[in-house]
Amino acid sequence: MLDDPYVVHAYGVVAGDSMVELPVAGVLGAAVVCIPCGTHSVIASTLPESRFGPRCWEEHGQDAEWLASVARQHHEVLQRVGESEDVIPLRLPSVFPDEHALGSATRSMRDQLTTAFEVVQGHLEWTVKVWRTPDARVPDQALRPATGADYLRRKTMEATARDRRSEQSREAALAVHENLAMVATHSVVNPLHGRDVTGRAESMVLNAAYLVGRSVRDDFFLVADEQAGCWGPEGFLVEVTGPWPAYSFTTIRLEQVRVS
Amino acid sequence: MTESSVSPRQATYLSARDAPGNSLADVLERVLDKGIVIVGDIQVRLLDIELLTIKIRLMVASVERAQQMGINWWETDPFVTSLDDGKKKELEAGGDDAR
Repeated sequence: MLDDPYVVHAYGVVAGDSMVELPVAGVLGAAVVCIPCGTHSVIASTLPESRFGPRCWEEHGQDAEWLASVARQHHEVLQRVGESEDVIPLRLPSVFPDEHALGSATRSMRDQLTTAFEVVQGHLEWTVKVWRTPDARVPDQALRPATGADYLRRKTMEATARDRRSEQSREAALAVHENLAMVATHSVVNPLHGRDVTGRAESMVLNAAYLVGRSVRDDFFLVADEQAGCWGPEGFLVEVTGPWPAYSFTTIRLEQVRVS
Repeated sequence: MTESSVSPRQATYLSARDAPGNSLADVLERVLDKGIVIVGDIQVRLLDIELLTIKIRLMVASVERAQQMGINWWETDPFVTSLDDGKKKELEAGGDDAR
């Protein structure tokens, strides 16, 4: 069975003594196991090298369907584990030639992993996005300016209205973020996604991640609801997605060399 | 000045378990490394996350649209027609991250 070359894919790291419940299948349908590596254990799958090794990754690096499919499967394993257990997620690609190499990499990162666990212990990550609904007012394009002065006046009014909207969006984003950050242990504000990426009519005005203690989750939701109620009448939507394993608050890489 | 007819008194809550639509971009940007990564002895360059998200969304939309309309979705998808020519050419070329 394993006479053919294989690789070990690592999803994430858990405490060494954890009795984590594992999902049945992970990337490309492979079985998910927990490999003890000293102080920590790694959630992993073994796959044929031809299907998941370095050359395979090189070939599929620009393959949207393959990447998205593998990313989702990887995420679902971590999602499942993270619901009951603190887990340090690993990013893709995350393959090792064998269990020995994986164990060696994990042991060499013991101190960094311990520090990362101290940060995430008892916490989950929540994403909060704030969206602005499109301006419902239709400009009177049909009304031709009677004079050049009228035209300039209209342009000035439109520019002022736009500035006011921008200012209000900034105000909303800041208010929502600051209120949520008070309940969270850590927070990070991420770049906004344009409408070509989101495909939504609304504009994104805040994209942030919060590391929230499991025990204060309801307080966090309460603040999110309060902010939604406060800014809703101004045309803003507050959207909470989660819970996530703490991707945004850990930057552990097991022996991957980063170029660029 | 009220611009929206909807005034939600609560936030909207989405589970991170499902990764269709809204949270797909969130999953991709968390899970996929950026730039060039060494895997074994090989340099691997992953597709840019934003471009990847757009492509996936388009793929999903195109299958549904094609089924509905039975014609070339490039010509009729309002989203695609609103993309600037540069990005459209990128997608039509099938995918190098030209940025």
